[in-house]
Amino acid sequence: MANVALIGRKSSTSGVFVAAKFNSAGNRVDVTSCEPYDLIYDSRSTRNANVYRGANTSTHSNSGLTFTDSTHPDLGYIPLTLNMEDVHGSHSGFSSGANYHQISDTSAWTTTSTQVTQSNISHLASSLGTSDYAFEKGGRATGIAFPNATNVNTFVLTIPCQYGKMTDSTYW
Amino acid sequence: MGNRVIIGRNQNTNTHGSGADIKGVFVARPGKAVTGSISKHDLTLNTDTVVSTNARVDKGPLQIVPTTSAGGLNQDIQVSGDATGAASIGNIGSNHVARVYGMSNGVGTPSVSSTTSLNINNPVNFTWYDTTVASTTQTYKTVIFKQYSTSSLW
Repeated sequence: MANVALIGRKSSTSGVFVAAKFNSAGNRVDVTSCEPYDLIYDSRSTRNANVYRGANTSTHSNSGLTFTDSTHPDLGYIPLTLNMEDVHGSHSGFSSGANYHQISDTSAWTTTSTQVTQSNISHLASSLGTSDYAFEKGGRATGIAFPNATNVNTFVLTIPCQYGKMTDSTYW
Repeated sequence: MGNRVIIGRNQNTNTHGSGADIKGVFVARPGKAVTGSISKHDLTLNTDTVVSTNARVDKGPLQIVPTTSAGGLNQDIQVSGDATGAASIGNIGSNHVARVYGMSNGVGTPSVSSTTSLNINNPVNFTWYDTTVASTTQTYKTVIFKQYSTSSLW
């Protein structure tokens, strides 16, 4: 039986808490001799992806999903979010003889410190190569045939993802 | 060197609010003492589930669900056009959340069913230059996250 967890000194570092994962053969690796990537938890890491809140919704409205409330106050930064949904395949359009677009993944989201909102990505690619651009914004604009997300699963993670907040003196 | 880990009773109100007295596993980030003057943001592991205003704690770490009995964490699923491919997910029960990514040729709209198996449906066709083209075989890379709740907002 391998040593699956360690609390105390590991190598030259004291005050460590580590737990091992399973290897490809289905056995626990030994925390006293394994590589860092074999650890399912390592207290020497500065920040872990803890789940702050989540959601399972059939779709999101244009006003977005608010994930803060009295018991889930604003974290103080824009958090990293994971959004998974059923309709995130490709989209293509054709507007004139020279313009077309092809986007392989239309699942785009805007995150603030309080909300997650589905976004548009629009891309105009000219055959002249001089007017290529892309942009996105919160909410679903009218007149663009991007599908609405369905069966949305959201994880709000305690990972700062905002300019000015990803420093040692703040939250990083 | 400060105390980095608490297993059991945590009486540090800096991370859990006034009057809190909770139990669980608590680990402070490097350079911080779990029993000291830290904030909740300084905890890299917090298994407690107590919720009170201004004393928010986390649901738990984001976890990836093994997709094979040997503990494999991801799978490549090859799906033919107008067909369904599937991967079995049997290690941690139902209500997983799947993320499909890395489509080989960037077309198609996968439909994901993520309970105890992962199903990916390739479409009959897709549009290119406003022309309908039959969907081709694609290889999807998948990763499965453990779900903590099936509530609409949790």
